[in-house]
Amino acid sequence: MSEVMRIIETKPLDSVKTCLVGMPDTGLTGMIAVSQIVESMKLPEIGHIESDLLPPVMVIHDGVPKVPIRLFGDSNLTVLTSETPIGTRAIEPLSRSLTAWAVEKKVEILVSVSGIAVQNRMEIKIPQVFGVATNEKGKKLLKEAEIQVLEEGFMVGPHAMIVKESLSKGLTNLVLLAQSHSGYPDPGAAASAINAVNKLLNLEVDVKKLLEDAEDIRVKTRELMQRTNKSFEGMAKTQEQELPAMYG
Amino acid sequence: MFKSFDDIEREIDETFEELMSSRPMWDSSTGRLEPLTQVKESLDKIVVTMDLPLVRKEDIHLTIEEKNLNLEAPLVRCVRYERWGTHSDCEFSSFYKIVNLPTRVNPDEAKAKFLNGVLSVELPKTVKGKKINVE
Repeated sequence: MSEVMRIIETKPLDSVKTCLVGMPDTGLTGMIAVSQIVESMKLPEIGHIESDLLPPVMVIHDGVPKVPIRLFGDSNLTVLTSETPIGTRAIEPLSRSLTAWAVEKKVEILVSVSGIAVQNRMEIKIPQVFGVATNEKGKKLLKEAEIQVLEEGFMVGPHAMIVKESLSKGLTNLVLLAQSHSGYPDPGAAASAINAVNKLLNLEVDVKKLLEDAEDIRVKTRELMQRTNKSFEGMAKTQEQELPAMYG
Repeated sequence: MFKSFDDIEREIDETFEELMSSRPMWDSSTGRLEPLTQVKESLDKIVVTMDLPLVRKEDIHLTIEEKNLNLEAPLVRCVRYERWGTHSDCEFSSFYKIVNLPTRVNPDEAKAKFLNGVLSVELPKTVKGKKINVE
């Protein structure tokens, strides 16, 4: 396992069947979605990630200081999420450590949840979710869950590096990309992403409360969104919205 | 080479924006929150969008000057933050923002729409590019 990024299990697990990842990214879609899953399924905190490459930040919840990047769940479903954006320098080591950990824990499916910016998001009532898979097993799972494969495009950010590392380690990694606002928190996109996760993993996470609380979530995640948008500047995030070159 | 006044003005605006982006997006003394804002410039116009959750269209108060767009919008209900930091309780009741525009615009031709809580304001530029004939 990478030395610069350490996954600390406070409640060690021998194996993990499915791992879900949602980091602050486009529209905060992945982070909002997986946080809702953690809350809805009442998944316990089981670990965190430490690194010198991460910002010197601790968060305090109910008087208890916590590391911002934490693991929740059990051996059936483990969720990784962060309360702070992952800076450009930390993305690759984090992806290497996470995928090495996934191999060690014999993870069967590693699912990254994120957003993909669309210019006309204001006019879209129910965002569509697209999928990317690292192997045939993953493509079959996307097909069974009726998730449309993203045929052409760019991915930039943590989920892109997790794909790269999963390809080199032979892991089944699926990326779910919900159509999102580019720079605004998007609980509607997160709800679509959760519905896709429900189909993919046979979960029953209700999105009703998330949609009811959507406006409050948008108000209360403005600053994290602002900080996340700032972090995009160092990673050419706008490339995701570029038209692909005609030669593939 | 000397910089034009427009370039200097733009650099000052960018530095100001940089400073503004590193400060808190709220002011508990006035109960105001700052909305997330994006400014996009094309050849003939500037488009400003703002995320305004908990706001009704009829409550949005927008004014425009040559180089500023000003927004005030009350929230349909107050947003409370309990037990955050050293504040035992704080409450916010409106969004407020002054957007510094990158160039002068024609206020008479400004158009605004509000859809699903996102405000979009189109502002045609005052000085449009002069056509150059291609031989």
